[in-house]
Amino acid sequence: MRSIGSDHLLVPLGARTREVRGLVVLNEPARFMWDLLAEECCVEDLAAALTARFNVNADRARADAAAFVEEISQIGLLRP
Amino acid sequence: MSPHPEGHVTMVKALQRRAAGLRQPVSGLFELTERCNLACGMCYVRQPANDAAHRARELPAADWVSLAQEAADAGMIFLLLTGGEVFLRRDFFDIYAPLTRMGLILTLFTNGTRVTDRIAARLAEAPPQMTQITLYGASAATYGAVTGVPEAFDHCRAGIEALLRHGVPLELKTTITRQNRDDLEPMRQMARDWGLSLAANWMLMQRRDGAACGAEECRLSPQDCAALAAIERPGTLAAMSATGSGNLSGDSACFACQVGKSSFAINSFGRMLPCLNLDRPALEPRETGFSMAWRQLQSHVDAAPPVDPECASCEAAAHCPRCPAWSVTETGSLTAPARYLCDLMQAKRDLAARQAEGGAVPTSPVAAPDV
Ligand code: SF4
Ligand code: SF4
Repeated sequence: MRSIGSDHLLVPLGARTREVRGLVVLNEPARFMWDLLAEECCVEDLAAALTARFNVNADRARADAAAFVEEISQIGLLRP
Repeated sequence: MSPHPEGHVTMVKALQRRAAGLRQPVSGLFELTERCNLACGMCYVRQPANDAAHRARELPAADWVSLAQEAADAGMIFLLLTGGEVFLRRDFFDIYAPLTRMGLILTLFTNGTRVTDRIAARLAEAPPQMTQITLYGASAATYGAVTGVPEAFDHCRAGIEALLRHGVPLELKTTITRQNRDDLEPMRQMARDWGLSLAANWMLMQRRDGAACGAEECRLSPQDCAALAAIERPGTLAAMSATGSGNLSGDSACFACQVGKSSFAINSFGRMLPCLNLDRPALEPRETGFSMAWRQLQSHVDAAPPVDPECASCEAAAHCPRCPAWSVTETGSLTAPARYLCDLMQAKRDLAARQAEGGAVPTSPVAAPDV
């Protein structure tokens, strides 16, 4: 994770550069979820944490968390 | 959150602007060697491949790695490795491999002629985000005329094919000169055959060290540049005719680019330069530490004199590529107008005016009309 102000870039290391193409830039809520994903964590946990931290309602938080997990899985950053 | 395969350049520019606001040295450029196995007349830097004195002064691999780590600690994220020809360094992978583990987004410039299957396979283990190869022609004869090395044509093609075989990300570009302009379309066809893009550049600066070079004999006349721009980048000419006045609207900063705000260069001897087209100031990051050299570069850029009054009031300034490097390499001064560019801007205005009146539009850089 590399940062420019409040923008955070996920930069793959070594051989992982083969799998991740393009720039992956995380805003603050995305970075918050990324940090949580370092531990064992499901969409429901992410949504609950988002609600507590960012003043969003539960439905919106669940939708954002699901979209985030889907996107990072698609670009190879999350292994099942 | 978004990956940015398409809008990559836009995204990088936005990040660079954000970094400039923070004075974070986010973009670095390492010139690993000035030596090259080709001998292009227009090159701004080239030294002979076997120049032992130059080679002896080049920064050793371990120093590049520690400099990169210091720069990364100070905020560098994007790093371009260039030459000369980077693959003349036998220790290239002693530099490259550690860089791939530092959290850097790497780009590699090469002429492709020394890329063997073994090198392509090594790169593919941890590929750069992008490799850019410069094509100099579409035949051995043109390669001979531009680079002095006809067989480089076949070697370059073999290098491109090796990189493609191993899945290393690759883009092509070309430098258009009087010697190869007839080859632009055939080069485009070569690129298409490989499924690659080809970006063309024809704005050739002179050497940064002030030594004699062939840029003036190689670069297109201002009129031919204008005609080529009309074909390759029609929008720029249309913008000139549409906007009428293109002056700088009060922005008189000498450095309008990212130099000293979010970008820096390190030459092959380890000196920090504003960019690879400017050889002053030459700061000493290995003696002072990277962060001190970066602060010194910022001070240099901030203290630079404002643009010359002639440029400040020039109607074409907003469309003119003039910058401190153009001024220094053409005139020796950081700010003076570069006559080649003034002539080019005049040629573009003439062409834009003719087009606006419904006159002939150039369709081929070869058949550029006399303007
Ligand atoms: S060549 Fe000119 S515009 Fe480009 S980085 Fe150097 S000074 Fe800036
Ligand atoms: S270099 Fe010439 S054309 Fe360019 S802004 Fe200055 S005066 Fe105008």
